[in-house]
Order: sequence, then C-alpha cells, then structure tokens
Amino acid sequence: MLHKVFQRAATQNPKRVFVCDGDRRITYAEALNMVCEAKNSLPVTEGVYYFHLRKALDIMIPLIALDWMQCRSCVLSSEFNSGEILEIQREIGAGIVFSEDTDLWVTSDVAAIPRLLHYKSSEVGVEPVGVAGEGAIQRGMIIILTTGTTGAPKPVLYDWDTLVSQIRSTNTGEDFRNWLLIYPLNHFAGIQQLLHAVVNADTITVPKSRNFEDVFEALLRQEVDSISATPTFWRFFLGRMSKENSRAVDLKQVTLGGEASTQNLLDQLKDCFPHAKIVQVYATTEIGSSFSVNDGKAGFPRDYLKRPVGNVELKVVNDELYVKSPKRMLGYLGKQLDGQRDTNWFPSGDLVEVTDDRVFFLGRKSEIINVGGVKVHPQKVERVILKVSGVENVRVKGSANPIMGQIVVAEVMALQDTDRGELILAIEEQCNRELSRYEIPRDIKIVEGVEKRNEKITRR
Amino acid sequence: MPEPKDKVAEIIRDILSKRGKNLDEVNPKASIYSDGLGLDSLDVATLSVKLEREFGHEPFGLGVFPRNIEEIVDFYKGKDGKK
Repeated sequence: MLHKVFQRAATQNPKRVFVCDGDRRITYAEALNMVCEAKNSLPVTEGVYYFHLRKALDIMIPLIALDWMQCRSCVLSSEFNSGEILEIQREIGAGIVFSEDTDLWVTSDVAAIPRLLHYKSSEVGVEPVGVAGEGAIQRGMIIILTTGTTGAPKPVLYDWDTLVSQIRSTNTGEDFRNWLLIYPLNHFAGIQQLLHAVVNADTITVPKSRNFEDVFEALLRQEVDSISATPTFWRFFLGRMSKENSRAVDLKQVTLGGEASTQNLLDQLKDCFPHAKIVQVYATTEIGSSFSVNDGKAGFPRDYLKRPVGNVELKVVNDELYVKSPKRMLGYLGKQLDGQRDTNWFPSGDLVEVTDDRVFFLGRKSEIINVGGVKVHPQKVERVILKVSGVENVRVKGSANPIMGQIVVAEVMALQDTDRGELILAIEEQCNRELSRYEIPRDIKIVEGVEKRNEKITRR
Repeated sequence: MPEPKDKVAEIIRDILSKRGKNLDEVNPKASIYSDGLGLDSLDVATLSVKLEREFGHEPFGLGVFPRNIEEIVDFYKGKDGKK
C-alpha cells in the first residue's frame, strides 16, 4: 500500500522533489526508480530487515521497496551499539541488518551488509522482478520500537496499509509542502512524517542537523515551509530566535506532538509565524495518529468526547483518556495479535481534566517521565543507580523544566560514612555508562530519606 | 563566595565535560549554543536546573535565553539589583 501510494505520487508528480538532502535533490520519479532497483537488489530473507543507518534516504527507499516485497522492516536508532542490536534481534527475530557500523560486520550473529544499495537514477517504469517472502506474510509490515513499562523496548507491529490509512490527504493539488525532517525514522513520528509527505506528494528536506542554526538557515533560504516537532523543539527554537530574526522567516504549517502544548507556547508560535496553520497532533506508537487540533488553543474541544474524531473515538474514565481506534497497531510482537481493533478501548495513560468546553492534558497516569517527547522509566534509572556502592535507596522522578517539559531528577539516600561528592560522581559515571542521554538524571540530590507510601516509592 | 561568573563558567564546563568536551577555560563571550560551545536542549535544561540550585532562580523559565556567560551573569546582576 505504501508503495502504491508512492507510485501514484510519482506518476502524478514525477518532477516534484521527494527528498532534499544538502545538494542532493531526488525527484519522485528518480526515487521510484531507486525503489524498483532496491526491490531487485535487496537480499532475500524470511526474517526482518533492520536499518541501522544515518541517512534518511537510505532508509526510506528500501522501506518502500520492502512494503512492495511484502516483508517486515524495523528501523533502529542509529545510536544503538552492536550489543543493543543483538538484544533487539533476540526479541524480534533474526534478519538482515543494514549498518554503517563496521563493528557489526564482524559480529557473526548479525548478517551485516555494507551499504549494499548504490542508488542511481534512470527512467521511470523499470519493472521489478523477484519478490522475497511473497505469500508468506501477504503484506508489508513495519516494527516500531517503543519503550514498555519495564523499560525494555517493546516492538509494535503495524501493517503499512493501516499506517497509510491514518494519514489524511491535505493536498488540494496546488499547495505542496516542503517539510523539514526533525524526527528520526526509528520514531513513530518520523514514519508518520514520511507517510504524510508521500500521501500528499510533499517534499522532505533533511536538515544538516537539528541545531538552531541549520534549521534557521533552511527556513531563511525558504527551502522548507512546514515543520513537525515536539513542544520542546519549539520552546528551544523560539528561545534562540531573536525578534529581528523572527521577522525574516515564516512557515505555512507548524505541527506539535509528543507532549502536551501549553497555551503560552501556542501563542508564541502564532506570534512568530503569523501565517502558519498551527496543528497539535495526538498520536502514540500503539494507538497511532489519533486526532488533531487546529484552533490554536491548548487541549482539545470537549465535543470530541461525543463523536468520532480523526481516526478515533474518545472517552474519559477516572480522569484517564481512552481511545478506540480501528487503525491502531496490530499488537505487540510476540504477543497474541489483537484482532478486535474496532471494539476495544485502549487506555492512553494520559490523565486529563474535563472542563465546560475543553479537555486539558494533566500528565501521565503512570510514573513515566516525558523528557521532550522521549518517555523515560524511573524504575530503570533507579536500578542503575542502586548498583553504585554507597547508595542505600533512591527515588527517580520527573521535575518540571522550562526547556524539556520534564527532566529526570534523582534523590539518593547515602549509606553512612559515604563521601557525598564522590558518591554523586560515581552515580553520574554509572548513569553515563548505562543510560541514554534522556534517561540520565539532570540533578542528583543527596537526601536523608526517600518518601514512601505503602512501601512503594512515590515518584510524584 | 565565588564570583557568579566563575560559578556559571564552572557549571557550563561541567556540563560540557559530560559530553566529552573538556575545556580549561570557557570564553565568557562565546555563545553557549550550537553556534559556540555547543549546548543542546538537554544541556540547556541541565543548565537551568543547576542555575536554579545555585542562585535560586534561572532565566530560561522567564523566556530569557542568554547568549553567553556574560549575559547569564548580567541576568543575575539585574535581578539582584546590585548593579
């Protein structure tokens, strides 16, 4: 289905640019040729095709080809090391890993192939031959890694048909967009960005980096006119932008997702980009793209609880938002696949407040900490800190932060006769070794006691 | 009491060293962001926490994004009304 939508975009708009990366501009027609070529040259496996690559185009082209080949793909964070990749393979299954990391090429468990695809452009209409795994799976699927309550990544399975059906076509045939790709493709939001662009035959511009200077430069040169990113990205971006700078640039669309937006941030964005359509999207990896809000106000209209909205129906039970979506994930891989997507309500884990006319997000029901859209599990961080000698007990929790929304902080109870300064250094070292940057506590306090309720550590 | 300037510089050096960048000196006029010392949003979040711990309040929550160490120090001087 993805490949069909892509073929349609390439047939209707062959000369439009699909991906712009530095000086490289690949049109939809050229990209379709690359997809055909990839389809003919990708090695055959009944397993999973893993992508551990840095360049977005190197991932997007084979993803489309693999949908066509009815195979399973999984995009990994380019920051994963070989150990982490092996662990994921053990959970999800064997397969081929495409990686630039030479460490992986010598690991016997991993069938690693150096940049096997050398794309070149030629005429449209190359008829592909050889379909891997045909009949075995019947349709192309993608596995997207999320993080589960225990802290281990959970593989979420989607078929491309469902993912594509979540995207509403906004293209009127004239108003094409040029999106700056902020989300990595191993994130659900990154895949959504790819699909949104393909469905609307829009352009995806790959920024040199996500640094303010490179993003601003792209805006200034009017390469891009639309950006989808987290409220954290926008808070930081606006903070760095001066008044004079803001007059020099404008956008057609600003999209926010991954965390709740505050009214203050929405107002600042309207002020900075007066002509932009400001869209807040509600999406999770499990439920998928659910609904959006375009009125520039925080939260969503209460009316949404009474009727189907976007791809979903919504209700509130005990202050928690429940979502019913026929278009949500097939299930977690390895678990029984859930065939009742139409009738099942899915607890979102988001606590909400219902007022007369509006529903506002209050935070997470669980103790998960949302660091700029990245979900961090306090128990995982606590387990790492408890390994440090001198630590008697620890409580890890989220703390409000003007940049990231929330950051991770740790309160540590030290054993007697422990040097506090040295203990903090040892904890920092242990965290640096075992945790990702988002998980590392940004503040470590030595406290006399850790607050407990019913013998369970309270984290809020 | 260390000078605010020295304390701010120490906090920033500490954040940078966690990113593997060890500097003996930081130029108080150098941009602290990606066009200078290279702090990203997580680093700046850390900076805001450390500044609040040290001085009781911090600029970023007020929407002030100081460009460099000098501007951070100015923020505190202005706030405290000492100069």
